[in-house]
Amino acid sequence: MYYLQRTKNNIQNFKVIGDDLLYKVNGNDYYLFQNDTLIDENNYGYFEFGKYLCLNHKDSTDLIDKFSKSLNTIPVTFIGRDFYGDNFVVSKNSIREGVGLYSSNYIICQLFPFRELYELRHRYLGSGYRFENQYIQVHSERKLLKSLSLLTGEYEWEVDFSGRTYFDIHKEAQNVEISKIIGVWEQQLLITTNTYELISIDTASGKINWETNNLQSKIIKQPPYNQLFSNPYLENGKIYELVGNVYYSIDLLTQAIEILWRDERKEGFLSVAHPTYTDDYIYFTGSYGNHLISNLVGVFNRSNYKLEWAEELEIEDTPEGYATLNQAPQVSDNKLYVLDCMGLLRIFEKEN
Amino acid sequence: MSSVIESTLDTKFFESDENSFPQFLDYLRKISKMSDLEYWFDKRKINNETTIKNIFKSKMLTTTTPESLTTIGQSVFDKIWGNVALRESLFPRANYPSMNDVQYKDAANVDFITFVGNTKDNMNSSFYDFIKVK
Repeated sequence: MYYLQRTKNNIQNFKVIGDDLLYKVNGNDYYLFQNDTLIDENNYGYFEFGKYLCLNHKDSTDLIDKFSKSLNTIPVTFIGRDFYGDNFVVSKNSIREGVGLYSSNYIICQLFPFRELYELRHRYLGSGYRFENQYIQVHSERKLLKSLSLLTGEYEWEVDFSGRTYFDIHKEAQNVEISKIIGVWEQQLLITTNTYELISIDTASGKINWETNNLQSKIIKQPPYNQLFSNPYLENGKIYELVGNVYYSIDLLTQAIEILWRDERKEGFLSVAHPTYTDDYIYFTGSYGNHLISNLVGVFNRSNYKLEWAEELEIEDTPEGYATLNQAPQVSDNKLYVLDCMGLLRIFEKEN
Repeated sequence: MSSVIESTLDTKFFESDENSFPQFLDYLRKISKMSDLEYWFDKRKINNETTIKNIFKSKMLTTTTPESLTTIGQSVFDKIWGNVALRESLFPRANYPSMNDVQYKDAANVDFITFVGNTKDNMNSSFYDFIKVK
């Protein structure tokens, strides 16, 4: 299905935006290349936002229309997050309060044409996940979930997990923590915990709608014991995940768990480590047999649950270790890009 | 997916002719969070986790004020930073509000110094989640 078209060395990071390959090379955090051409010598970040290619500079952001090539520069750092309607959240005067903990003044800014709309009246800790005009924040060493209204600047609800504990595999009591916010579907805010459970919270009231119990054991019946919610995918009222040798879904209305596919082989089974989801396919890196070293790249069909294509790559054994594939592939219409941990980018092209 | 390593840690762990430290760096490229890696140390040779953490700290941080990363410490940070999943686990992007990528990396570098410096058992430092004593 794909063949190796070419490789590029010394890649630090990359993004496929449309048909363009943007990347930075090792040893230079500021030079940004687009299709082998240096396009920015002072780049602080780059990403796609709708029809725009966005380039961060120290205190400003360029938004370049990919079609008309028109340039719009705004005088703040916009990183493509926290956007809803026509506006986004900017943190100003951030002060480091501790490890990964900053306090900031929040300003709500209109993107086009750029202008500051209003500033919330308090200083707030941390950043968050924006859902409409709510800012969902994780506080108190990941034990407290709070919803800040971006209209009033007041916290509207919180969910406190600080009383919850569990016993780890060494039978030691540990605190339950919030691992990640997956997203929102029909007023259900979906979060996961370090115990691999899924919790649905009402976005309006903060009340827990439902939560799973011992979910991991219901999905992963035998080795490999890959951990749930490494890379979940929220779509049309269900959460999907291809992890290890299992592809499953959880219905958010009924909480029904469906094992869509499992590689039942005892040895040499497919083990997916880093997936990229599209409507029809899951592009992944992983291995056969659940190895820590990923050397496999492949394409899984989400409709018929078939492995459309997979290829074990020749992974270089360098003096520094194996050049494992430790991130998910990126795809364009007819190309698939895989970066290994030593900076070798492999570019595959779809066969006709 | 996790990897369990039996180890008898001493200062040779960091010496260039020893394989332990390069192996540790190699694991940092492969795992998705520090607890995926388990280095088990013999309680008869090592009193407690703090002893081990202090060995790591002494090799990874300078003794200057303020502390900064040594060459070894910087190489550990660079390996973590090059691993997208591990980076997000230790330094969640959402914790660094309105920062561009370069500012985010700089801030995470500062946080990493704090992580490495937090060697007491009662201090929360997820960097040391790989250390186990039995």
